[in-house]
Amino acid sequence: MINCPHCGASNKDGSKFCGDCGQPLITRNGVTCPMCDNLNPPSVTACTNCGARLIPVGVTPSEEPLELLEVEEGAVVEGVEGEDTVAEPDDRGESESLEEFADVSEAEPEEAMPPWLEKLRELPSEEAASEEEATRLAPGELPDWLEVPPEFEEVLSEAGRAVEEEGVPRAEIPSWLEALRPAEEEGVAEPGELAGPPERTGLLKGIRGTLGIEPILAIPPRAASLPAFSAPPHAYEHAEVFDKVVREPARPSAEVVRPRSLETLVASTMRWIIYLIVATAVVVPILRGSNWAEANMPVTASTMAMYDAIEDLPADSVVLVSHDYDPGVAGEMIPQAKAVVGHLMRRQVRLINVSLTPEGARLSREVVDEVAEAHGYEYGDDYLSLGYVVGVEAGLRSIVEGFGGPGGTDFVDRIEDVALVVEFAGAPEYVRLWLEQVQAPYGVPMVAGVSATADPLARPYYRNQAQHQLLGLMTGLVGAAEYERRAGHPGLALASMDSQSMVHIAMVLLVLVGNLAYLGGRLRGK
Amino acid sequence: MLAFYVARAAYRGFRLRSLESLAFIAAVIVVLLGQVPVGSYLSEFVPAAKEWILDVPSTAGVRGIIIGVALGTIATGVRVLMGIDRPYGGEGGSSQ
Repeated sequence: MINCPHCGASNKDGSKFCGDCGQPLITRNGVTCPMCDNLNPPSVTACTNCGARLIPVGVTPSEEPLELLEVEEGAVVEGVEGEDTVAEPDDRGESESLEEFADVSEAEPEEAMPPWLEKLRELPSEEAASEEEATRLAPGELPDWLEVPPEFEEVLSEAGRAVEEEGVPRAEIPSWLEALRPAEEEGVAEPGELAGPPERTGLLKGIRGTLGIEPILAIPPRAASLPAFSAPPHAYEHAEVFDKVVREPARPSAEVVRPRSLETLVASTMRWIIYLIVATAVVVPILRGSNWAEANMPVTASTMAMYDAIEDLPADSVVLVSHDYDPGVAGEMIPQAKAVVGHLMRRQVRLINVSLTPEGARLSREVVDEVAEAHGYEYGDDYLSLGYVVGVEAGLRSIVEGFGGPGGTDFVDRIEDVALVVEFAGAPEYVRLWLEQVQAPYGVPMVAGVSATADPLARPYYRNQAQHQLLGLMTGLVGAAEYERRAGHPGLALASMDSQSMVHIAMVLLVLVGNLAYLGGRLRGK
Repeated sequence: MLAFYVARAAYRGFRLRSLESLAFIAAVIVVLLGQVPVGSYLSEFVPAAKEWILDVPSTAGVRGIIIGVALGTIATGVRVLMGIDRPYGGEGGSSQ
């Protein structure tokens, strides 16, 4: 270990400079040059090899020269003020150092001297030392060039008195700047005050007057002054109420028990009352076996037109029947199919049954087989079932164009030989599809039985008498009942008309009662 | 099942709030009664009124919808043919 002669810090062996103060380390062998690693005697101030300065320029030379050749590692000498000071190589003074530097330089060959050293060599060392000594100032003394000339001293003193007499106010410091002023706390040393013991460790070792870290942390931060705030009186009242509510402990909510009036009871159970009314309207006529509608069922003009179109068919004519519905509307479409197919078979026409829906093919097969059996129809001779036709528009067009061709039926040779197209449509698009692909291109007469939901969109084609698109139209279960009534063969549709009539009456009454309750509530609300 | 839900909706929905709702409720009552034999039993006017509602106002509205759809289809076809619009399918789709 090598102890620094300046600060006493310990450095590892082989170090050239002190790790704490940066001064060159002096070993027993001398001072190592930081530039060329040449080992110089301890007494020299410049490297004997390259001429580099071995002592920092800022080091104040001491008055007394030290015998450093005898100093060992860690050795200390007695200082001037009785304190332990470390021997420094530059304590011999600047003038002596220059002389020795000059001597060392003379020992060097002329070729090794750099130009700037040549200039130093020409400078007389004694004159330079005396000149520097003469310009050295005492503490607190100003140099000549900073002294106020005598002719200006009087002017400046008069100007200062004038300012004091006129009472010029001091510059006002804004509040935000005052807020930034550090708080003055006791125990905190002023910045310029060099008091207290020197630092013993760390980078500030040996320095006096350093600020301790603990007092700074103990200074409470000064909050910036906030602008004055004024609130209206009611705001303070609201704040008090809010504070009172917030501070109140939560109380268990008392269960509100309201008297259950008859109106509330009816409102809560109205759904089940409505269901009960509808169920009663459906069940009671069935249980009673009522057949009031068979004698009083009116037949509308559209259903009558459909009946007439079928009634006018000649015997042995071919009728194309399409069953385009699914189980969702089978409740109203199957009674229609049964009534119309039965009428067709009574007219002894041959039937070709198709379906544009896969469910319709299955449902229609059961209906047609049941009615055919009742009327003595034979499959293949009197009626056919082509099943489900895929491809929507293209499939339908290919079917009607394939009549009479290979794989076709021998009932007709071409679509124009079909006497009538009967369409049972659960959705209005099937009616439009048959009209577009068959009725309009080939001029085949057409009637349709549709579900109640498809009626509004199918009715314009029936009312278009100029084009004769639909010769007749039958709607829903009511249309099936009308057809049965007109044909004189009561069936399932006509038997259910009593229940349907009761349900319709019940709905009308519910609408009226609901509006009376609504208007009564509005009147009570006023 | 449909009758149950329709009956409940009729009770809750058909409320007399304005003149338009009055006309709507009147049409509903006439069609409900005219569709079944009890309508003709009540009055000969009821089935006739039902037929008029279905044939004139309802059909007129549906014809307006059909004509609108037809005109829209024609306009869209013309736009595609003139290159103003592009049918669905994106870059390299059916428009190529």
